[in-house]
Amino acid sequence: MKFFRARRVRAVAITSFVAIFIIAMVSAWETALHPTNYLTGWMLLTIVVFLSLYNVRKKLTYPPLFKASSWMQVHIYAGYLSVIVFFLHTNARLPNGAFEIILYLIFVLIALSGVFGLYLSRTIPARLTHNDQEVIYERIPQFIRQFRKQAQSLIIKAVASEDSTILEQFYNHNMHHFMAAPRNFWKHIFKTSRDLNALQKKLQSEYRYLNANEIEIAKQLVLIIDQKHDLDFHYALQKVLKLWLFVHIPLAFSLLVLLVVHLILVYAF
Amino acid sequence: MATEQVVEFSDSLQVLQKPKRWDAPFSFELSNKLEARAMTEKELDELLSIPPFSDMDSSRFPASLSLRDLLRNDTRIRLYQKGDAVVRVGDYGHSAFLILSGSCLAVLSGLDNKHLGRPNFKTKSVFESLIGIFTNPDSPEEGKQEDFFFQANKQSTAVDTDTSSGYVFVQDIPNVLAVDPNSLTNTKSDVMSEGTLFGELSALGRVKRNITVTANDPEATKVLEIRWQGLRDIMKYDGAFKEHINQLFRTRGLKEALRNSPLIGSAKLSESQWETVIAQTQFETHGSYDWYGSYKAWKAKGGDKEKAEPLIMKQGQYINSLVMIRTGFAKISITHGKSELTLGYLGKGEMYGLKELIRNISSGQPSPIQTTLRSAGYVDIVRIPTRTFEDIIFPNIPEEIKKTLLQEMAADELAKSTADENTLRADSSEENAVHKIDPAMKEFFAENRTLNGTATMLIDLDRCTRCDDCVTACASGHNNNPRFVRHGLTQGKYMIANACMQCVDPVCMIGCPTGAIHRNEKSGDVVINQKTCIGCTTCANSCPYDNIRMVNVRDTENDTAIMVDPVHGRPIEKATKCDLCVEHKGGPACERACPNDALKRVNMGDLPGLEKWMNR
Repeated sequence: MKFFRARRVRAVAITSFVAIFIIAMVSAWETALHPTNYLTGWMLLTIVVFLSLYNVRKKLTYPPLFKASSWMQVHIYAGYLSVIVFFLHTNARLPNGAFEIILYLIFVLIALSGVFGLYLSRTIPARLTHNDQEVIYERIPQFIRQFRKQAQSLIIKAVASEDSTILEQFYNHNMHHFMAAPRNFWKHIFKTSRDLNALQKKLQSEYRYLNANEIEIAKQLVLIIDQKHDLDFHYALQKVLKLWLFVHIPLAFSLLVLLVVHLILVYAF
Repeated sequence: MATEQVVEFSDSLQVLQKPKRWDAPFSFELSNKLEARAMTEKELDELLSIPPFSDMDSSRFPASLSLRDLLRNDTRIRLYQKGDAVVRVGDYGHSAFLILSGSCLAVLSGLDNKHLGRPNFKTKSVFESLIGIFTNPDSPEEGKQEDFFFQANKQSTAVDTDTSSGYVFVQDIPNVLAVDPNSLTNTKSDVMSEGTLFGELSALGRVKRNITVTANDPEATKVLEIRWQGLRDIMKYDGAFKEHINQLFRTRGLKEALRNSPLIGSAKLSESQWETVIAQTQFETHGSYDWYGSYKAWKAKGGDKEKAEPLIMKQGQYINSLVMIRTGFAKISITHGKSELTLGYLGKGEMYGLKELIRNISSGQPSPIQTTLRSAGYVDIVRIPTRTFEDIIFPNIPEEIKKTLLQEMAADELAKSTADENTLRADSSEENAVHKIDPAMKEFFAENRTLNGTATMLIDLDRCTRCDDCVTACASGHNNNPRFVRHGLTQGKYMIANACMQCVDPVCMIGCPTGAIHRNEKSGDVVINQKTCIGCTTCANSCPYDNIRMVNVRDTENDTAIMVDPVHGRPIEKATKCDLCVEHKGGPACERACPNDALKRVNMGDLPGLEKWMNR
């Protein structure tokens, strides 16, 4: 069996076994007429604290604390387990009281963002690879600037040498906004490439008004548009890969704080 | 270094003349002004009057490459004071040396690294690594002067110290480091007298120096340094000199190389049989010695691929010898349409043609070679003639080894009978691995010479979320400056990132004037000693893969300003590259930091390991 498949099977088996064990233990506890809230509450707190240790491991790059990928696997499956314990703890019902509702919703949001992030992490990289260009996210604005300068130089060249403003007008009306910054974020996310070709087609439709030299320049502009689309594609998808963490991690920190408050409230009242 | 000449055609047009060999003599590469001078006619006359040059027939050299001109341009006279290191063990050099006057001491063993300007290696403790994460500077490559500069060696006669700082700005160090005479007391050494030639095998074979040589004369020792280009041409036109060099290799290296080969070394040969095998073995060099330069040019401009990969053995020919790779790489391919399909490659110590030879012996019928062997850049081979193998070596190989070989061959034949053209296998014991790696991928590895790497950073782009955790982890252990760029050549879903691959043939080490780039004694990894790096960019320019970066260093005690060489007023540069986190426990941080199992440091010679990782 191949490595990833074997690992997945092993992790699912272990998680299932632990989940069944926890469910059985909670049932037995309940049958014995013990209150299960404290049991499941402490279990959940332990798992959540353990899940947050993954971020600590990421910061501690050098001490040999196992590979980050191993931590990631434990993080994913402990995350699934935490959802089961969470529903055992809350009886799968929305609690009463504003504080508990907030706590409940934050947990749900973290769980959903985690699953969503995992989905993104497993699907977006392949889409990025499928696009032939590979670009570092932080360098995208610099490349856009370069393409913009190239396009503007071509327009100036066309105006100066051909004494015609058709391309200049086209640039000002149609390309200026496009070349100014990363564009078409949602279209790239949802793979709607049909609309993306519109700008190129519009430019190509202008060929009939251009002389041979201008057509050559326009063809170069088409290429620039194409490359800019590639940059926008990388920008959008790589941004999504980074953005979900800006939801998941701050929520996780707030959950930790609220859990401490929750613990104090439970034991105080 | 070639000088650029500007030829003026008219007032408005200036054309830069293409630099030529010998635009500047070898001695002009020295920073020491006393030695950086053209050789005088009198000195040339003297050189031509002493062996081995006096024994050479100068009429055999073409007018464009006369012996006198070769000596004038490809050699230089060096003067060393007693204790000065001429060559250091572990260095990779491109010169041989001839003692003209005085004597040298060959230190065979027992000399501590610290006496060679290299730090004694110490792995950081877990606690030190942990503290390092939190004490990393805000700016990259920030530190105090003593972090970057070699402390003046008071024993050295050649080092010009900057007394104001107490540290030497190593940009000014001539390529001489003195060895403290007291450090030589407990070493095993041998005196080499006038007329001795040394260093030629490591210069021509591009293997590391295995001894340290220091000047031994109380007066100055005069040494003629001959760069490899000159050695090559002298060998080309003077058969006796070539035979002399070959004889040196036969006596010093060949027997050991053959005996270290698992197969040939297993043959129970008598001393006289060994002598016969060694005498009948031939040496050949294929491809360009400075393949990394021609590879860069070929890659930049394109060109004749066939020329870049000279033929060693052609598919369909009768096998006339067993080939063993001495240094460099060879590519195995089969005819595929009008071109060739790469099946695999061979590195140092590996053999080609063995199975054909055994097949011929067992069947009694000569059969043609099934594959083509080409040089992948540069390769040094030894050829053991078929007759020598059949008559002397094979009969003396133990029966159990022969049996294993025959079984492997039978399995190979069976597989071949059911395989199509694309699945034909290389002459290697790693057939399955070769078989499972996509042919286009193998082509990509061979074409880009990445087969040189023992720790190539391979990234599976289908799993990489571009989170840069690998980059961050690297920076946290390396003065806040990552030692690689997560960018590079891509083929399919794999990227070979711009990280030092820890090459089998580390051409970056050739020509480092201070030996700052060296192999770590403990791990064997190629590392740079920041204190003795003079920022000359030789290593960065030599690296065929652009994996060494020059960086400015910043002074913590001077508001993180970029350090400037006070003599020349230029920023101080240092070469940086991936060192596989050799100072830290646990291995490369990049690999350990990847949360998605997307990054792996791969030994390209370990095809089963590579295949296993690619087909996870």
